[in-house]
Amino acid sequence: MAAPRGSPCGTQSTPSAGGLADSSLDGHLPMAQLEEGSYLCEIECTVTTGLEQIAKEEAERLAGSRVSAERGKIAIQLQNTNALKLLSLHSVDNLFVVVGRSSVALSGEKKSDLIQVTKSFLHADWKRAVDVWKCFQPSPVEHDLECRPMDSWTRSEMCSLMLNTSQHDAASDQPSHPLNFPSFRVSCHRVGANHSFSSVEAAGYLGAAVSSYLGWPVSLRQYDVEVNLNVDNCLVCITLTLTRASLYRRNIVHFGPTTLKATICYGLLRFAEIEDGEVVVDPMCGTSAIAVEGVICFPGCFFVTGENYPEAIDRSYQNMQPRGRPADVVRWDACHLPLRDQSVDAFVSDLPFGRRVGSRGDNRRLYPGVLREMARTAKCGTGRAVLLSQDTSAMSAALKVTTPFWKRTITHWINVGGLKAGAYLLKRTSEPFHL
Amino acid sequence: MKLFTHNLLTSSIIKGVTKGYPLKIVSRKVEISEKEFNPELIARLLSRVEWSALCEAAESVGHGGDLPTSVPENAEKDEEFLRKAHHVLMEIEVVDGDLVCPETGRQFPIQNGIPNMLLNEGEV
Repeated sequence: MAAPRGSPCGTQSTPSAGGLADSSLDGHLPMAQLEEGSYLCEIECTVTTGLEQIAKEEAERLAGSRVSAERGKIAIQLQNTNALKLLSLHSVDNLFVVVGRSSVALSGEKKSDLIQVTKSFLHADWKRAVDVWKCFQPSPVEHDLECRPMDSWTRSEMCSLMLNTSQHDAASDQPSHPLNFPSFRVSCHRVGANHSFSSVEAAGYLGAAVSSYLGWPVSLRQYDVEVNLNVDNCLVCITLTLTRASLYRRNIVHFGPTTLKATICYGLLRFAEIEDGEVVVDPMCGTSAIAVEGVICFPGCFFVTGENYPEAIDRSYQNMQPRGRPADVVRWDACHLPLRDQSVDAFVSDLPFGRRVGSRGDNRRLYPGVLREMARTAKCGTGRAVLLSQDTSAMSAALKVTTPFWKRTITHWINVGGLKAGAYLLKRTSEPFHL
Repeated sequence: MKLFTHNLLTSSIIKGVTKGYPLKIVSRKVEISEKEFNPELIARLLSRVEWSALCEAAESVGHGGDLPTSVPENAEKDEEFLRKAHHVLMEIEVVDGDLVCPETGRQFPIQNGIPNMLLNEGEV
């Protein structure tokens, strides 16, 4: 890996070939362990804010190597031949291969800064990053990757290069290029208040450099490769997008207005620390997104999901096909659960926020009712509930009236469609239920 | 609705009902299909099953013949027994029928394998 994060701006830019033989890597994955002909690569995964720890744990289990986590993403170092395995991660949204990371010296003068940001990456190992990218394509890719020899570029050469090649357009009047070069576009994501350049400008400059240096044609719509330029103050990271469709849409066919992303469903189930042989219930299941993820990731459990709303029941029915899984859908009222006392090990549910569905007023009646019924049907002492809600006041009020039965432990704050929602972890006390 | 789920369901939520378990099953359409046998899952779920209620349910849908009247010793290691339990708990689906409250006779319809346990105004 490149210059460590948090290094002060103003250091000389140190280019890094994305994840290659670098002394800082040798510490946790000795070169001796790499297979012949393979190399280390770094894959970045975007994660719903609030689920980073869950994602880190899942990735460490799967990849068997070190994973670092920061807000909204995790980064995994692993042997390139194992990169495809990461598609089976349930807690991440999208995958990217890192081309290179760098810390750049920004002076505040636009042209100079743009050159600094762009220049360091011309040394990065694009070939290896593209090789990883090729593995993720649905059909075999026959692109060769020829780079012009990399000599040192003078500033004036860079300037004229950028100026001459910054007018690329999509599709029609492409300069002729060998058919075996992938087309690309650059997306820039920028964090920081004091940049002398805009995201669009930075994307344009990198695009021009990639186009000249690698010879790839630009295509803003029908692109093969999406190059991401991520600028966080003076830390720059370039990645290639590996997943064309986000992984969180994987399970559900029939969506409702508030269907949760599969990655969030997975996170909630993980928070509940479900074990094999447990009975897991979602008392307000909507389209059963949580149970659908549950039967796939926790095949040793039995899921019962319930709803009162007829359209949601229909969608649940569709989503839970085929009926081979250990699960059932029941139509019920969450405030009158037709379940025996102490028959449930864990409740995992996405409670109505009171925005798209229901209202805050409804929640004030609904939440205490549901919490009481869950208290009656959960196993004393070992039962637990993971409840996602944005309505903090309804939740606090409901927890107050059900205090003898539910103990509030941690609350994880998760970004759900732009809203900050709490995943409340509740433990069932050993107090027997009474009215 | 699988018989494992039936084993959890009760009509005791109806006002005034004290003996709402187990619900009787009136089946109009039952489907049997092979499901992957997971002995560990079955062994663990056994502790959550009311065995006599399960036998009654299996009998009422015509598949009770094979089941012992009580769970044998060391059931978790008894593969033959676990297979029988697996068959009854997981492989029998009541697709169309009714669940009936044993105390009041109130019927809860089952359609497409989904029981409707919503209560009416007066029952709450």
